[in-house]
This record gives sequence, C-alpha cells and structure tokens, in this order.
Amino acid sequence: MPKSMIEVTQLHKSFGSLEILKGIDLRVHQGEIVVIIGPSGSGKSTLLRCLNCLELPTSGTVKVEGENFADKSGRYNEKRVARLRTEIGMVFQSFNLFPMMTAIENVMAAQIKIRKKSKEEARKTAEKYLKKVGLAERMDHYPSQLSGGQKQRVAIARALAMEPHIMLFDEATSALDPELVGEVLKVIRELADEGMTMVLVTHEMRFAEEIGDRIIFMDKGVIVEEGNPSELFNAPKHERTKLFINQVLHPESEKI
Amino acid sequence: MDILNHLDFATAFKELTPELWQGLIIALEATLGGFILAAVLSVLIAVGRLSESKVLKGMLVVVLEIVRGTPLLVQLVYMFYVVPLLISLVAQFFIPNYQFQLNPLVAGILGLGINYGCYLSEVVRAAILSIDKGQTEAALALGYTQRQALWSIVIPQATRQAIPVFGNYLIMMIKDTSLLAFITVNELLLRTQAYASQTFLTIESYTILAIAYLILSLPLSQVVRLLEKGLSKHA
Repeated sequence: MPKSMIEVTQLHKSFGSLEILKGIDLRVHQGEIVVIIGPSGSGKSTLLRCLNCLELPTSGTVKVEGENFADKSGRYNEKRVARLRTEIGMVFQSFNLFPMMTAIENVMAAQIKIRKKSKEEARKTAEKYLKKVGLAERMDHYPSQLSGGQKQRVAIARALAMEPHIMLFDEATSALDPELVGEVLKVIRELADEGMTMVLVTHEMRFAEEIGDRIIFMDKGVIVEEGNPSELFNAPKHERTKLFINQVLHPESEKI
Repeated sequence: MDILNHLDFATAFKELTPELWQGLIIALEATLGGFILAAVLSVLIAVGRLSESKVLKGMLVVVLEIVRGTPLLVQLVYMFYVVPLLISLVAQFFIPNYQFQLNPLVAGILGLGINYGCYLSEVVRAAILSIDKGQTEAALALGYTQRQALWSIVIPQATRQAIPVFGNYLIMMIKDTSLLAFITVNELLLRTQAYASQTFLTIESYTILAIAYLILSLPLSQVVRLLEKGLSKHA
C-alpha cells in the first residue's frame, strides 16, 4: 500500500451561512495525480485551498503525510500550519509572483526566509528549477517583463524550489492566452512523469484525462463521482457527471 | 513711493544669506529627524490599525483623531511647553525637584514626526489594503507566517507604492519647519524675523525668505515626479 500523502476526513467548509464543502473524504497516495473537475461554484477550488489550509476547515481534518494541520486541541497554530505548508507547493490561477523581485529572486525568497538557506545555495537551487521550467534566459527579468506563460512557469519553479512533496495547481492555465497554455501544461506533465504527487483543479478536460490517475467530479460541495479517467469521461455513472462532461466537451450544444 | 526708494535688496541679500544657510541646516535636521520618525510611525500605526486587536485599533483611532483635529502649531507648542511639564510632574513623584526639559529642536522633531506619522499612516494603510490578496496567499503557501508575509512581501510593496506621496509630504514638512520658529528653534523664519526687526528691511528679508523656500522645494517636487516614474516600472 503506497504512502498516504493527503488524507481528508469529513471536511466541511462554510463561509458565513453558506456551506461550500459538505463532508469531503479524500485520500491521495504518493505519486498519485488527482484531478478535480466540476462546474464553477462546486467547491473544487475551496477544497484545494483547504489542502494547504489557505482556507481553514469549519470541521473535519486535513492530514499531510500523516500530520494533522490542527494540533491536538483542534486549533490551527500558525507556526505549525506554516511548517506543514512548506511541504506543499501551490500554483495559483493568477500567478501571484512578487512584482518587486526578479524571476530568480522570486524563486530564492522563500528558500532564504523560510528554509534558512544561504544566498548562494538558494541561487543554485533557483537556477536549477528555472532551467527546469525553461526560463534560464529570463532569470533577471521582472514579472512585468514576462508573458503569462512565463510568469506561471516562474511560479511553478518558485514552488518547486522549496522541494515540496506535494504540488497543488489551482486552475493554473485559466488566466493564460490559449497559445500559452501548452508551455505550462508541458512543465506540469514533466513533473507528473517524475512521480510528483499532485492535485489539480482544471478546466482542461483533455489534459485531465491524459495526466490524471484519478478524476474527481465535484458538484454543490460534494464528490459526486470519482474514478480513472477513461471510466469517468467515457462512461460516467451519475447523471450530473454526464451532463457536465457533455457540456464541457460540446459547449455549443449547451443551450439546446 | 518712499518705500520703493529705500529698498535695499543688495544689503539684505548679503547679510541675510549666511543666516539663512545656518537656518537651513537646522530646518533640514528637523525635517530629516521628523520624517524618519514619521515614516516609522506611519507603518507601525497602519499595521496596528489592520491588526486583530480591537483595543489597539481603538487607541490608535483616538490618537489619530486628536492629531488630525488640532493644528500642527498647537501640537508643537504643546510638545515644547506642556509635555516637559507633565513629565516633570510625574517624575517628581520619584525624584524631588526634578525638572525635565526638552531641547526645542527635539520637541520640533517629535511634534512634526507624530503629526506627519498620523497623516502618512492613512497613506500606508491604503497602500497595504491595495496590495492583491494573492501576494499574501502566495507567501503563506510557501510557508511564511502571516506576520512574515506582511513584513517581507506586502509592506515592501505598499511602501514602494506610497513613496511618491511620501515625497510630497516631505516637501510639505520642509516648509512646515518654519512653524518651529514659534518654539524657539533658530531656523530660517526666526532668523529672518530677527534680521528684519533689527534692520527694518522687512520687504527685502521676507521676500528673500520666500524665495529661499521656493528654491528649496521646486527641485524636490521634480525629484518626486521622477521617483514616481521610476517606481511605477515594476509595480
């Protein structure tokens, strides 16, 4: 039995009186690639953000490599949460690069501040990962001088430089111009080939089908259906899943 | 038209200029000290007002209202004449006959610093609030604590954004150092007053003083404008 990297039990999340997640159970194994799909407002991004406690669960538990984010008394101690987060890299839809730093400084910052590495060490690691995402030539550029696809690749390098055990991708290509999506997906695919444990939220169904070991379909705060890609895309069991996949794959038939 | 015939700018210029140089040094000292204090205070107040603590927030709002609701000149006079008395009063419980005194320049720096710190805190607060939440989230996701994210990611960006506004306040502060004349700081205005009353060269003295301030602030406005351009590059 492979090691369990993420373990979510009976996760509920409410914003005020609005319940977004209504009891999610999820387990992600080492090296597994889980893709979460679903209509907007289904809670998939919230679920992903609960996995590194950017959203604190209203109830239920989230464990990373066996360690609970909450301490024994059920509280979310900030230092503990921060420490566990260093094992989880996250890539956002809107990149969120630090605008006052160059690409390489973006990748170095947390290594120095959080991992307490020396500047030289951090620079070496940063160079390695920027090369990996194909940006060796752009290291000294500021985010404002980079294209969307380049920015997102820097963001991926920044997350990887912390050498996390898990990577989360929150609609990493949704803000990109269509012609730039490919370069980012290529980097993600390479990571998948190297055996990185990943959880992705995406609207790229073809990519989800190709890369995912398991697809999770969410709607209205619950996991409606999960399974391997060919099952879920070709023979969905639930009516809601069928409807969603049909709509996404054939958008022009939506209004008929 | 008698006055016109007696105008003597040449003499006034010759005699007053060295005085003004001396005064300028003091004015710049006051500005430097006052502005550093104001900048530090502004960030601390802004962060305090964005904190979770209701007590701290409440206290800061009271201080801000007091500072904004009273004239700077009154604050300076209060700082110089009243605050030392109050401190002496309290200190005398412990040390008999203790007299606390505040150097006029120090009182001026404190007064200017606190006043400007309060106004600038609003600028910093607005700048902090304008920074995209994604910046904090990215830092948190990398393992920063809230405090680390605030101080090493958000505040550097916010202060960068605030710098042009800070520049304008800096120029205002240089001009406001003239108020320190009222608390016996020997800056430009006080020296000019002294010279004018000795020589009766009133028109000449104050005109030269006004021009001196202009010469001081015009190039600075230009510098602020350049700063604004340079900083907007990677914002």
